[in-house]
Amino acid sequence: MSKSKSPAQRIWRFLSGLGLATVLLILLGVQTWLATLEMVEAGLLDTLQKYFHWTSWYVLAELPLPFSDGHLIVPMPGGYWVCALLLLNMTLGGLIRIRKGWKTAGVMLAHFGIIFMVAAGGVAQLFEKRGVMFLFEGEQADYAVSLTDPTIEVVEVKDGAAVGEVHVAGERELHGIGRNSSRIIRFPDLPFDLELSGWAKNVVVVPEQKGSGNPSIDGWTLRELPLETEGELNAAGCYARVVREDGETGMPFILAVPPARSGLESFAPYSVEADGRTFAVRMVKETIPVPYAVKLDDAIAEYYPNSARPKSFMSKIERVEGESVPVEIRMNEPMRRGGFTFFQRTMSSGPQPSGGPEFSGFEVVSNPADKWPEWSLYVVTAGLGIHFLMMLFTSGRRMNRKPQAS
Amino acid sequence: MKYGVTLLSIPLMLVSCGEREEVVAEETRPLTMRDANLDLDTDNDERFSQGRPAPATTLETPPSPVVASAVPEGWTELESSAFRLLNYSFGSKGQAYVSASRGGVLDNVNRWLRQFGAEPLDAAGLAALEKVETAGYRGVWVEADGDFGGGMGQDPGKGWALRGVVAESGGNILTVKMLGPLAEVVAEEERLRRFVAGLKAAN
Repeated sequence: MSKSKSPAQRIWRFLSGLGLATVLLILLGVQTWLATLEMVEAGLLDTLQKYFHWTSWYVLAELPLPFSDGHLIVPMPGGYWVCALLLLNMTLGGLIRIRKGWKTAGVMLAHFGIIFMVAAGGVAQLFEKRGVMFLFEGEQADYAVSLTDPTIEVVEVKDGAAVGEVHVAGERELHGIGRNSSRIIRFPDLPFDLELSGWAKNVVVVPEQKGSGNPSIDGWTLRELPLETEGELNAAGCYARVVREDGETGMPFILAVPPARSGLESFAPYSVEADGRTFAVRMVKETIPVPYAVKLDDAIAEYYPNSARPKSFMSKIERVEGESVPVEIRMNEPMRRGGFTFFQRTMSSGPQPSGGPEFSGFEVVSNPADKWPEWSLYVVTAGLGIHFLMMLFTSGRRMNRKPQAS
Repeated sequence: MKYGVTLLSIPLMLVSCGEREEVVAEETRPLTMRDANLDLDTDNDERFSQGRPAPATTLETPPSPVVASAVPEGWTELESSAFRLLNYSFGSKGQAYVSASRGGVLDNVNRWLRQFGAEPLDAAGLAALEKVETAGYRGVWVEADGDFGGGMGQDPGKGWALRGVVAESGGNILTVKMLGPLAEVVAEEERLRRFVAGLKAAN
């Protein structure tokens, strides 16, 4: 019998091997360490995107050099794909290739739990929506707003009101567009497209400044700002123009997200006439529709005496979906409904100075894998527990046998 | 390990895809409350004078061409900015401010009226407005009551009012604008008139 293995067998052994698992786990550990160092300067959001976003096939990690301001550039595969390979490796090695029997049942279960946890991370990155909803007492909303992701929204307007659906160019369409490149966004169901140029991740719209060299629209121009360490403070912007079906292009205009500190959700939209219809075009942080409205009745904040340290935040809300249902949302007691989880995020600190209403802020998360990490922990715990008991039992039997053998 | 190197280099080889020049946006979402009150009658001056960042961080505040003789009783002086050269608040949501603007007197009057859904004026309508002189500027007194459609960093408000002056001198436009709930604005109208009369040229 020949000892040489076919290429398929070699690939199988490699992909399901302990060696690959070890390399991948070390890689993930190193990446996590380097990302932790880098996020101090680059910010959490940008660092996570750089190291672990699915579009990052590779990472040029920056390792700070001791006794120097320099960095050593370390090329590595992207963390998302390392995890994907780890998931494949554990499935092949930890579930399929592993010797099966009662002795390995616990280990297999633990492997399954870890695979489940890694899969939860992948699903969350691809499908999770995360935003915030700020409400003053008496206000209601049926949407949350992403803190980070800019989108371009186009909606038809009739008799002063939006109609139909809102067409969205989001993260997938806008990712990777650069300051010196242009991109055409095709909207299949609209009678026009948009051409974007001069994209920057953080801008402010300012009156034209002579000598800046930036294009000016009606005396206004985009001024690029340094990226904020806190990603949610960045406000993207670009120049845009309408491209009609016959190829005719319109006058350029500015699309931008208002600065976070302005408190505005959006600038007033542009009006675009096409095919005898009127459309509103604007750039905003992503709108996350919620399948019901949430009305804030009472925002209740308690603080420890003589301190600004919150003791408890609680919001009394009405969930309006046909009928109105009273719900209380507290710290660590979120509301889960319709695929969305509402966490208590922030709150006004007591009565407002002007006598105005108090407000409450919720973190709104839609994640199909929301509970998977918790379930996977139960599975891993059960698997390791079974394995421990099996080993204890086996060891006990061996010890009992030894005196008989002697 | 040879295979390891090969596999781990696959991502590196796939990077050469380059930037996309055209993309198709097929995603849609349902309408939400965020899509109510879309104001399509906004020009860029109005659009971008909202949401400006804090003056200290980005924009320098230009010197005001006028100065106030006194802060009216009950008004609170606020920090000025590139778009509010003199800036005050009063009552629960009331505000009054002096700005330098672009365009002509009629353009600015009609922009204000549109914010309240009022019919724009023609030249004859403008000529019929009460005349006002302040700090060497000549202009008109503008009033509008009703539902404020938002703008200039303000949320829409029902039962609001506007009182103010749009004036011109040598092609420069000066506006003095008071906005707020109707009752509060009416109560402060006389103070606004005295404030306008008391404005003086800065130099």
